[in-house]
Amino acid sequence: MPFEEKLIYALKHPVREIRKTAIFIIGLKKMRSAIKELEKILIYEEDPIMIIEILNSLKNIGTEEAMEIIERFKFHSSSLISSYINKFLVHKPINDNN
Amino acid sequence: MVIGSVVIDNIKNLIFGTKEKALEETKEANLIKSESEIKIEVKELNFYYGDFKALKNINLKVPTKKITALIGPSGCGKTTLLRCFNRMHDLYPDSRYEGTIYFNPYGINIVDKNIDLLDLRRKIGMVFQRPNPFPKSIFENVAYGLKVNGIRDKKLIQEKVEWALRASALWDEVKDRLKENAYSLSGGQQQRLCIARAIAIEPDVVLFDEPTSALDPISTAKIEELLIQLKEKLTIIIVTHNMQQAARVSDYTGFMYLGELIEFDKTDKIFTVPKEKLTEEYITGRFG
Amino acid sequence: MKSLEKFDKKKLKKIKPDIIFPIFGFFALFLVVSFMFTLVLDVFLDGFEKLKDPNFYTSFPSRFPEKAGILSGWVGTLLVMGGAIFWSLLIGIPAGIYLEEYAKKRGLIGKIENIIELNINNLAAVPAIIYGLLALGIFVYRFKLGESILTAGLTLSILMLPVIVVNTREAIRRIPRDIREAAYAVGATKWDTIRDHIFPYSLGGILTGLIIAASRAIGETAPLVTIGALTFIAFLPPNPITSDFPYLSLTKFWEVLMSPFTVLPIQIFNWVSRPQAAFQINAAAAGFILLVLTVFMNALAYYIRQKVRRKYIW
Repeated sequence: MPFEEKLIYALKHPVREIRKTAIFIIGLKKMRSAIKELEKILIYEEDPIMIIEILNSLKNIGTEEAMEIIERFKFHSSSLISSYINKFLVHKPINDNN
Repeated sequence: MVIGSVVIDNIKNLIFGTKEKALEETKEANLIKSESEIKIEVKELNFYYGDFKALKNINLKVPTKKITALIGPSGCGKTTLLRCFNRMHDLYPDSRYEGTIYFNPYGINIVDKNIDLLDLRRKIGMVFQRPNPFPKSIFENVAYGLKVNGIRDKKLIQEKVEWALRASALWDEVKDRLKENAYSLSGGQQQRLCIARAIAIEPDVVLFDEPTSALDPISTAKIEELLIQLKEKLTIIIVTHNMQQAARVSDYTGFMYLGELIEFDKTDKIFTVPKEKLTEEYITGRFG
Repeated sequence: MKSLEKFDKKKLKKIKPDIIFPIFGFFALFLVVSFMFTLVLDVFLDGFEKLKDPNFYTSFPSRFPEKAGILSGWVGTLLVMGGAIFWSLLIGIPAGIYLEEYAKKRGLIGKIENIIELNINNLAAVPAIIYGLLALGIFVYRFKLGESILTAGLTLSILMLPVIVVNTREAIRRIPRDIREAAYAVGATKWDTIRDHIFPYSLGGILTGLIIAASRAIGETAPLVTIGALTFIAFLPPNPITSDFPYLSLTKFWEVLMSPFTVLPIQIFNWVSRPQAAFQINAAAAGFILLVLTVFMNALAYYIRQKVRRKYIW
């Protein structure tokens, strides 16, 4: 199994730290293939720290699709999350398409 | 006498040729240059607790003024390896080293039985897992390393304590209460005090043994920030069980498993394109 | 429903000891406390007449019970205890530190150390009179120190030593490992670590042990009788403190150490063994003083322990 696939599996790992690390590495690797998976997690995830971690990784991936997902959280009920997003949405990263 | 030696040199040059000698010198210089970037070089290190082989054939180069992280599941030997660098194992019976750990630029073998341990520990400091200040005043805690190393000049001690507290981002919080007991500080402050205590004697290397595992996220963030500041002056080796911490702060990362160093590389490579299957499995939580 | 009945019976059987033991325990405790209480109260009431008389504390013993006091007794007790504390600390603390910090537990020396270690625990259980005989043989006959305050102090210090060594070791062991490692990690030597950390942090525990040992030794009679404590002394040792520098006369101090002595428990024993009823009152009064001293010392030990516990929260 390739590393990328293992990382996507790790997103469902029972240990929170492992999930968090996997999300973080997906961001580092700019793994576009994981955007869909991250989006799925955002539907049920309630932990604001995890949500921020995911949004951060999406920002690192930086594709239009990813940025769209971030936009949805602009007015999130948790002020922790909405204020965090607004910090980096003001100056949108330029999508350099690799 | 001087003229005589010059004549002898000239004769030598005539015999052996000056060109070759010059070449050798530049080669040597190159070697030293590359060596100066390596602070600690571990070669074929084995370590035993009694009959138990805790470290197996470790080979590792720790670069100067960089942060090197050691990760791995608990019991993998990362803390054991860290404690070899300042020979902490020697405090307890039944420990045995095999192999070499070169310490540049001093050209000594750290695990040599005959080296001066006090001198070694002065040059390689350590910060522990649990904040462990002495039950003395904040000032005395930082000054302790200076005192046991023979510094008696009160003004100098004062200066160094202030410098160390500033360097560990604690000065503003404690400057008015230096005489208070260190136990009156919060956990995060205590750990920064321990960092100040370690750096006050200006070591070359500071070893961090899971320095944030007993701290809250805010204190952890402060210490991580501090680590990045400190690497301008020092070489840092950090053991952590938190992979994200390793990814955030370190330049190089080594992954250990069952007493072996499985993989050692630049941090971003270890986490994004690991070479070894074991590293992949560990990062993605398939064991440990 | 048969099985259920069986089950209930079993359960009842199990509950019974749960009720019986606390009741028994309570009576046992009540017995201990009432013994203690009656003893203190009885001694106090018997000796009350003498206790309120200031002359009782400033008079020497006498043939006449109404004139007799405990001056030589309490001065002797203080001097002997002072000596005992001095010697037992001087020997006990280094011995405890050595066993905990330096002992190798390996090789031939380790084996010898192990034997010593085992024996220190046994020493605490040796009857006091045996120590008295030992002291008689060594200090009085061999070193010719005489039947003196010095000998008495040394004798009681042997009695106290095992307790002090054991307490020193326990206090050292309570210091967490990472505190010592922190000292070594900044380049401290073993001696630096002991002087700056191990000793000061364990001092509370050491002092607690000392006071517990001393409060036991203060009541000891047998070993002091063995080495020849007098039962009747009508003079005090000379005062070694002088008005001019260096404020202490060494020759007189030596005289103090070499002077004969009595202590409170021996005084009590002496009075109790007399036929006159009036001496019984004296004995009760002196006994009460001894009790107060012991309680005071135990309270002090408790206080130190609490204080230290608050200072070093490991």
